[in-house]
Amino acid sequence: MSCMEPGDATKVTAQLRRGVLEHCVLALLRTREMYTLDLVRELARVSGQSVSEGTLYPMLTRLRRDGKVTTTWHESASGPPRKYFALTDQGRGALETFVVGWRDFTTAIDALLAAPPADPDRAATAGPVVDATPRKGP
Amino acid sequence: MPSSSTARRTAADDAVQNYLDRLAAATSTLPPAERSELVQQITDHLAAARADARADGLPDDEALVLNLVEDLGTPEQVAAAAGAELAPHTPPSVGLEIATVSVLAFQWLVVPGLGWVVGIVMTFFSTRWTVGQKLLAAALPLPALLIALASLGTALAVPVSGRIDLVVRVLVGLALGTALTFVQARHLVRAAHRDTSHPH
Repeated sequence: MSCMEPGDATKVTAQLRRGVLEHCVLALLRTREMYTLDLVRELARVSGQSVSEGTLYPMLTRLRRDGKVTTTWHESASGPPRKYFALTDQGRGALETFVVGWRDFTTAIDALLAAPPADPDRAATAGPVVDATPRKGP
Repeated sequence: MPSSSTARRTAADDAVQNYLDRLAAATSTLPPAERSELVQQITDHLAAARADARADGLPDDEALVLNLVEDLGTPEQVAAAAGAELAPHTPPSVGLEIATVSVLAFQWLVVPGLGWVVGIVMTFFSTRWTVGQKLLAAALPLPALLIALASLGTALAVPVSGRIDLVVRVLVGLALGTALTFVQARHLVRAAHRDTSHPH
């Protein structure tokens, strides 16, 4: 049996969140422009306690460079002008591609996690699917 | 404005400046453009968050800034995220290799010989070429040189039937030399590009 440390589950979740984060940005911007501070706070919330707001800025910079989002400045009633992020056509395309890929991916993984083992002989020795998670090396 | 309020704002400003200074120090290895953009983003973030707090009627004091800074993460965490995010996405530069190939291929047009030496020195600075590719680059002027020598040799050894014949030989030699140089140069630039996508 793999010995799963108490922190491993949260680590796995954090990694999964990290991997889909940039598409969460695109999804958040799908219907409206978002002000940087709101966007960063919303993302930090989506990605859990482990992600610091400041670490999200480099990702936003990269998305802008990749042409998936644009930024514009708007006047603000309560302070200095604010930077807003909006989705570009390219960003919308990337999001649509991701949505399709995500559905296929989650369907396949859900099926894998839910399915009983194919070979009854192996099932007796291999145990439930959950135990097949990759083990850490020594 | 009461002086106490001014004093509180200064303490908050100091806390902001302290964080930004630490961020600037932690990001010193980032490319300058990335670094200044990141510091600006964090500056804007803190300014906007403080403005939001004031608009909500909350005190814009040092405690607020320390909370905001805690949510941002340590300057080292932010710097590490920037390093991980931005470094792999800086466009691969093969500018040096293209310049080297150009110097070597066109050295005849500027100062023959000297350009060759300059080009060979330039190959030493390339991190994308193997030793073999560097030697091939150094040999870039060879096809043209060999063909120049060959046409000179034939012109001297074989009796030339007329000026036209000589001109044709030289032109054919030039065309061959140019083609060989071009093929060799293209191979070298492609090799430099390949190295960026499949590092060995």
